[in-house]
Amino acid sequence: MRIARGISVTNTSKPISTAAAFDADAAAFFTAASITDTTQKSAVNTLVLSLKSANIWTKMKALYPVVGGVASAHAVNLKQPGTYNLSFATGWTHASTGMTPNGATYADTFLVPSTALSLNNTHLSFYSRTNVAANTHQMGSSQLTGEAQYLTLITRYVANTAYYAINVSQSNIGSTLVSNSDSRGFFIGSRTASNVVSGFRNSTEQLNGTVTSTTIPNTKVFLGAINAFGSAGAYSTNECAFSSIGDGLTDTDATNFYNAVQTYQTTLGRQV
Amino acid sequence: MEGRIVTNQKAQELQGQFIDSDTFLNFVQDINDVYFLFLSEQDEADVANTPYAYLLDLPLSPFVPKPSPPLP
Repeated sequence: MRIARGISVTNTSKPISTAAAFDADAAAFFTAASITDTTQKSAVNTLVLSLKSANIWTKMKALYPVVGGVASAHAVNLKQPGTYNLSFATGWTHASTGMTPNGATYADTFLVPSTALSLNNTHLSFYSRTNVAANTHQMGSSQLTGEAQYLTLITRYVANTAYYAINVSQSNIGSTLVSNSDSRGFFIGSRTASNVVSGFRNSTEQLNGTVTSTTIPNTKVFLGAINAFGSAGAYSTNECAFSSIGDGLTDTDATNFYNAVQTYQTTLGRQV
Repeated sequence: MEGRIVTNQKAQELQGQFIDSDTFLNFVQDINDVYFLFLSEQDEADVANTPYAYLLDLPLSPFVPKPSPPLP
């Protein structure tokens, strides 16, 4: 077929691949979580590439992108499918916007901070789509060693405060609270040194603290509640659209992390 | 908030039993230490296909949670 002077096109009968090339880690997640929707695949793939580009990916131990709308997909750890996959206690509702606990349930991450993380190099994150003031924890772990030792995120306590309690004792937990009257958004609590703990809501650093680390808990991290010395308590009703557990994040990391996650949520049409 | 009341013996017998590959039965004590089972609509559909389907016949009762220990 001649289409222009001096240019010809020959039909070689070779098939032309239209399948998008995905990052290998993203592709492994799609298989494990049975994700087939093209928008969801694109969102996750972009998220993975962004985290890798920002050198955040390697700091993650567990990444729950909460995509697919069903428990079997929401359970899968994007960082390493099959490791730290979630198990849900009855009482969760799963939807395309996220997963919502009923205020008397939790999900088990199987991640034990004292073995998977380091005392002065830890973060938790939680993307909440619910605005509620309640005496609840959105995720966390604790241990009783003389006094309670906490690794926990509280997005909006009854007194309109958020807690970014990353490896702190009960007597020091007050040093990790900040004023906060909206529990919607992406919350990150991070510790990068024995005297450096920070807390972010979206792109705003709400806590820039120096409270000393004490103990990293030896109980599994729960989502939708805190693991209170071995059993769930302080149950949440906040819809979760993303969560992670891993090494500590710098301020730059936290900003890049928020940008990547918010882009991800926007692509899925569920950003807050 | 409502859930299904079960005996202490039944709660201890069934605690942690999986109804599918990702979800397990969980019993929570109320303020009076009575065990409750909570099932979302999705859970109810899943339980209906298990040997625990009889739990769906239990009537719903009001649940009063235990207070969470206060933080500073």
